Amino acid sequence: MLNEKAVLVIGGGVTGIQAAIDVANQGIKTYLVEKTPSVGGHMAQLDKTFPTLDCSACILTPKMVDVARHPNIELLTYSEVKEVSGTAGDFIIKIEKKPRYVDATKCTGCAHCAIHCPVEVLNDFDEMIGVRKAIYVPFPQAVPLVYTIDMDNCIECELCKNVCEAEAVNFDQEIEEIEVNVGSIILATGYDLFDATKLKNYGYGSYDNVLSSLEFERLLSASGPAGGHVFRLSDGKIPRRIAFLQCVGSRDSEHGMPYCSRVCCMYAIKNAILAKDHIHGGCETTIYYIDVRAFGKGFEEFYQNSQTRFGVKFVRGKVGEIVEDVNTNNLIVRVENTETGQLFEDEFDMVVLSSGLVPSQGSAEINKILNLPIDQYGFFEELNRISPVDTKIEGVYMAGVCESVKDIPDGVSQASAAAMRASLKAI
Amino acid sequence: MEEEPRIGVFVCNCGINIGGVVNVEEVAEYATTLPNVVVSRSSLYTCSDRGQGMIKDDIDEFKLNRVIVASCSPRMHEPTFRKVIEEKGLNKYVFEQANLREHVSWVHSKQPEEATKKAKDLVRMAVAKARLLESLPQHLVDVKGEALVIGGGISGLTAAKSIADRGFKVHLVEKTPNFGGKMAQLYKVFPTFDDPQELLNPLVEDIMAHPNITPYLSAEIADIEGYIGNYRAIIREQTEEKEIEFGTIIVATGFNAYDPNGEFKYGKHQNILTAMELHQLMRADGPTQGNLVTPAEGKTPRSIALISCVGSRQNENTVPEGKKPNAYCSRVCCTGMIATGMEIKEKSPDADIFVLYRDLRTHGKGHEELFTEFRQTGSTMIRYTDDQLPMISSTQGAEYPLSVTSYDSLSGLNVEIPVDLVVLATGMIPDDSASNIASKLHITISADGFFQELHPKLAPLDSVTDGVYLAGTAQGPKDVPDSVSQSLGAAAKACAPMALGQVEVESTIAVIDEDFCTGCGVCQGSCEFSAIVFEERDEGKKVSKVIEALCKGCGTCGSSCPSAAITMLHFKDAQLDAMVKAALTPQAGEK
Amino acid sequence: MVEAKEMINETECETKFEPKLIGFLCNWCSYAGADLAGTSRVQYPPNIRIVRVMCTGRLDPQLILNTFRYGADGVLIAGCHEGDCHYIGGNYRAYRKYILLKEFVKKMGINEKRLRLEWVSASEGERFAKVVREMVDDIKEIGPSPFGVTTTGGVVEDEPEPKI
Repeated sequence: MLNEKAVLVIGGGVTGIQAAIDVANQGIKTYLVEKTPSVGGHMAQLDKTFPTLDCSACILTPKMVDVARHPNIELLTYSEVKEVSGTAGDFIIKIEKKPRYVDATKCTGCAHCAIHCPVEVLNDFDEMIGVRKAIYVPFPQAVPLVYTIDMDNCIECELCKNVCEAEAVNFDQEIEEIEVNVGSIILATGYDLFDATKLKNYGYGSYDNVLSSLEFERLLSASGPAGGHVFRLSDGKIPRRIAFLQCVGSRDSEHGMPYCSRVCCMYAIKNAILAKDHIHGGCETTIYYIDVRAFGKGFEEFYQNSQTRFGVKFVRGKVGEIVEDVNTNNLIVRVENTETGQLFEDEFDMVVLSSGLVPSQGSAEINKILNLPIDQYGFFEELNRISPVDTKIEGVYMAGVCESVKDIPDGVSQASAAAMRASLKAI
Repeated sequence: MEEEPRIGVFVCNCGINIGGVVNVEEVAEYATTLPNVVVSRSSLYTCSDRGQGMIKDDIDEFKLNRVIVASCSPRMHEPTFRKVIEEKGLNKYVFEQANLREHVSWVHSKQPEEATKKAKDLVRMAVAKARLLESLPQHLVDVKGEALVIGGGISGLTAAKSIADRGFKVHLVEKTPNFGGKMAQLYKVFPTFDDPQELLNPLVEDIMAHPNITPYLSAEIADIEGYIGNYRAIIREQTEEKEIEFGTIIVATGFNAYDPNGEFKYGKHQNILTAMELHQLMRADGPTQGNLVTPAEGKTPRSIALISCVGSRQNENTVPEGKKPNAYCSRVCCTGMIATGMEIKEKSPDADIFVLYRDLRTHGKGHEELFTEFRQTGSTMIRYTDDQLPMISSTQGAEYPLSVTSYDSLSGLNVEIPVDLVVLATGMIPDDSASNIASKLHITISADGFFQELHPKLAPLDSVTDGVYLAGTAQGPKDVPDSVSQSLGAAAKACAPMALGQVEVESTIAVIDEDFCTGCGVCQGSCEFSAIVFEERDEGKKVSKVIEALCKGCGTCGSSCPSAAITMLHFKDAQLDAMVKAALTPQAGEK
Repeated sequence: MVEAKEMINETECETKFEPKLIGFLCNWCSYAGADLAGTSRVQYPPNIRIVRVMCTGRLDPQLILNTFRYGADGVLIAGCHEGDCHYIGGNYRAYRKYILLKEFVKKMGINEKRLRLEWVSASEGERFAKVVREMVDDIKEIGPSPFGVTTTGGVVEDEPEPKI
């Protein structure tokens, strides 16, 4: 009892996944296109989520599996939209399926190919801290659980092909182009993290022990490169004093973006709590902030608890400079405590930058095709104040951070909203 | 099911994932010695087309009525194999899977002998359960393609229109005489200062003219009963009562502004206003035709204090005696306060504005930019802390009628500000009807008093009861765009079961044997989903009855019943017991 | 009431005692956590046999007691962390029963180390393995269950089928 028309969702993070499920649940055929080998997006990289401290993978993977199994959803991973033509109610989409060099119908996800592959490269999913092989899945719970060969690094020794009992490796695979006809499109192309190398005063990229928030998440993650044990990248030692710096690239007209990235206060509090939880023998955590934006449901309570129950310290002051002690690789943070008016220095084993969120590369790429109006930062513009998920092109909707920065609950709500709007053009 | 169980066991090598550690042949061989097993095989990849074909062929050949696959985790492929046997006409609940991969070969890889032994034990356990498995009927409930939307503010209106556009009938019930809710009372909508009427009017017009929407104004829900797809309610419109039937419900009952009585001298001086009261004053249809003048003197205010976190972020110490503290943040007041500051400046460009805040939470799209613009007006920001709340006092005839004293944590100074007007940025509290609605609909309320969502991250729009969805500030404080997003989303959730016309509810549910039920009600107390109710029988006997459509099959009632009257389908006492016994009982002759 | 004390069967200690553990794991959290231990290839001793339930709230104290009666040397109940229960409060109710059970098994003469309840989330594969290792070590120390028949190779006599 499927409708004649379909909906296309571009982007397979939690927002795209939710949108696809909500459209498909209405009996409407949905195409979900994701450019990486697996759905999951950034949420799959997180260890735990605020304010509930739910295990991110635990609450995400059932939805990922749902999307793969849904009778009305056609999941196209490792694929990209190349062309869009037509109008609302009747779009024609050209999609390019990139070759994995592994037959998805045969691969059982057993991992023997990866075990034998001699090529090791830094893993994007682990923010370049961990490694993977040239034949890989981005993370163990990947959906679909199908291996992909990264041809840029493959040396074509064909060891993988030899050990694959399912005979799934196929070096002759080629790009496949498909064309689909849909009534509406939902954009869920997500975000990238602000590149903190732009802030020279923080030493990110130069000092080993200054990390971005996603790098820290990967260290915290039980399935990450450190197995959930936090250690310093310079010498492998356990950090006992960690500083979290807020508003890195956000609320910063000069070197970053003037807007607020909305999630960083909460994720820093969460990461500070998790650092204390994961590091045996204790760890002091200090958060340097301008305003603590704990505004959502349960957020303020989480913030209060972080102080009373977990002992996370808060200092009001935007850090001016980070200097590295070359002997110890420790970091000296220079800041004015705006509550006392004092300028001071403090030493830490590790500094985590709560970098802001910016529109993703993926958003920019899809917009080369769609030419949607965007605001000065690159987020897609909404039609009006009470049409927050309608873009300015009829039939094209948006959800999640590609519209503006937001956390997971707001992204998921918006995904359902976009599904509602999209469904009206697909019936 | 009276027939003799005929069990087929399929043991998987999973390449060398299982076969490399467990002696799969031996396990398959062993299975043939177990009671009721008529065929037992091994294969390389049972989930592959070939493997699935083998199962189907054996179902035919051996007339199997139970199937066991001993392979990977059921969390991986249980649905896959269930579909395979359904294709052969078997009920999906006569399938059982033994986990020989994640729970055996992958975790005991250096101990092949023990692993093989464990694999045999797990297969023996699966067989013991399979012998007692039964076909379970699929529970489909019809879903009426009509929705009830409770609340006619921006959230209710948005949800109603979407559902109606989608093709379903909507009953839109609003307790006041007008649609528009609190948004209609605002002066402007931040951060772009839109006129709320301009945004609302087209929507309300659409709704009044929509063929699929029946609007009820000055109306309330007198009574409601039922479950997803099958609800009945009585709507009381002033004196008239109407009975309606519908399939889904959207709760959009909105919020109330916090009443700051007893705090910040509110009520003690005419010039101390709440933000909503100031909005009324600034509106063209307000008591002063939109002229911003002080209530007491009727003059243009020269100096105004805006105070945030009134009724939010409270604790025992900051709240007056007798009042329960609202620990949560109301999310919108900071930006609302800044927007108000801009609006005041627009009406009175020479006014001095003092903003007293704790944390400035201008987090939304365009909010921070608005704050940056506001700071350029030369207004003063004073950061107070919750251990020293600002104090308001009347100056008794001095040049300015009021004085605000506060500690500023950034300068370390105590400041005293003479003001004409004090505006309290009051927080949001749930609408009065919330607890009534909650009990009528069997939905729950969070610690902060707003309706509780099924899961805060992944199901923010679903209530804990199937068929009831949450929209707007009823679920928690938020601004207009977020309320609209949520309402559209809730509408999408409601449309899903209505579009399909049917919804499958859990088959593996609780069943109560009335003969053993004493009507003690312990089961009802343990059910989180309000799925058990009392029913009367002859001679006034009361028994508990499961509402099948609401039961999730968790088993909590089953393990609580003192009369052992409850059976948990597919996880019966006998089935679990058989598994345990099989686990601990080697076969005769075995070591 | 006199509390029976466990007698350590001296002869059993001579042959290498391998405890037989039964684990009741909930579908949404702990079973998934045990699966993750598998996908992560975390090794642990092969002494445990897992029974999957939808929620630890399902666990009837009678079932746990039967498990001991059939000869289990240890019983592990593993569910979702507080606040994470898929059925909202099933794990809390399981916990209440567990508290009572702990007292009860002590009075029955079963060492309380034999009954353990843990909250294991779907991402705690390592932790699940650790819990199993700990239980195996603990129970090896205290020896076979006083109801143990499995280590002697005997068979439990046929009982009337428990009421369905």
